[in-house]
Amino acid sequence: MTSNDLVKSILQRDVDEQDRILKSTEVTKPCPVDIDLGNLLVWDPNVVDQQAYKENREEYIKNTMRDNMQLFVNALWQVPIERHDNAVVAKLPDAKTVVPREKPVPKPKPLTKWQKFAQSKGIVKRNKSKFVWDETKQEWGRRYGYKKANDDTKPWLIEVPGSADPNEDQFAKRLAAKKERVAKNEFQRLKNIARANKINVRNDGAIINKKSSTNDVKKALATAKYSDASMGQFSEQAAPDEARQTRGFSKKRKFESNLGSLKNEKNKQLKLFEQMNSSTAK
Amino acid sequence: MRPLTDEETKILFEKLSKYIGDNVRMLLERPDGLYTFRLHRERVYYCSEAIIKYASNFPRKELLSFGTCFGRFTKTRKFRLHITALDFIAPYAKFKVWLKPNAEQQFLYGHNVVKSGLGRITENTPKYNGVIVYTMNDMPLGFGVAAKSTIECRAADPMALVVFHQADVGEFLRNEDALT
Repeated sequence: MTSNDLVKSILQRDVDEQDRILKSTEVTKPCPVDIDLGNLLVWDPNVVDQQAYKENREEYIKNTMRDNMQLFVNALWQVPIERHDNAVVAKLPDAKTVVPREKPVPKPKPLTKWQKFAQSKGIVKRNKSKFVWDETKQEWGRRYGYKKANDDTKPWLIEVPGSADPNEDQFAKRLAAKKERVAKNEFQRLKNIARANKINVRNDGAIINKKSSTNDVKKALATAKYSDASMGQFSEQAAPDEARQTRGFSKKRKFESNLGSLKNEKNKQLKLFEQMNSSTAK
Repeated sequence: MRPLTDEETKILFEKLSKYIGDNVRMLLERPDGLYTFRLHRERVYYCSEAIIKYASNFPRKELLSFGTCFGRFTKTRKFRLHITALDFIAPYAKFKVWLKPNAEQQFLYGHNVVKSGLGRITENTPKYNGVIVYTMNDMPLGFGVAAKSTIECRAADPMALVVFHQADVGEFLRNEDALT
């Protein structure tokens, strides 16, 4: 063999070797790797080669990563495969490793007044049908909600009962009764919420024993301050840094002085204009 | 009377730059003295330092007007430019519209401008940009908003609206009391 041919054959051999390594899907590891396809997890218990790691960290990590990925992809192709419109989909098995809860266990909600009563009496909820037969319209309509069947408030004729005042508007009466029922339901819903969150609410809606937040106190202070005849100008400071604390809560707005330095004003306005233009230019 | 707050100044400048663009600077920086804006009863007045000093001697209820009224802030803090600002805006106008003589009267009565009344329009007027309306003799008539860009104007049919009327000098007769 001539030296030229020899060189060529050596180079070819190297190229083949490289090809073989690149195209190989075989990976051998001293300790078998644990693959959890359900979680897309590869758990590699092999001992880290300390020397190789110290020599070239990035290279070592890349190689181990590549090997593990290869094993993972091999396992992925073992799993039953479906094809949907040119997309190959693998059906993953259930997850093996148990992952801890992300959020804490939800607390049981306190029962509403009705739920408590139903529990004590042993009343069981019976699911009603969503649609009812409307005799007048001769069709099925919703039991409740938009355009419900047998809507009480929408008759074209209401007979005035014998005992009623002839000048009373029966239609308005029915509408008012409906509004009353809706309001009552809303009220009871809110009472349930208050009871669940342990907020003491009085009849008129005011909250008893309410612990004021800091913002409430600041607002109250600011309000009290400007509630006197001179709008709090001559009142003492309640705290040394009161002005800072109550900054957002006082009613009176502060403006620049009318006869202040006009040159400063001009500069400020020019700067504002520049700012406006630069932001709009972006 | 008080100086404008930052938000109010911003709103004012935005409105002005719709008509005169960058030349708002010219209004602020004048060689012949310090001119600025003041707010009085929700109206914005443009005046020189000296005028402000004189005007501040009057009680608020009795002070009617000082300097030039540019416009007023509405209840929801939008700025409405009045015709009284025309003298200051017209020299710095960026986009202009010239009307034919027969269309002038329509505009002065408060109507919008139709394509058939359009004499000339500056090149590259963007759509919905503020324009100053002139007669063919270069006399300013008022403000408007371009309903169509220059290119669209050329292609529009004669009865199409090209300029929305905002303010015109006829208002000096029609809305005397609203102008201060």
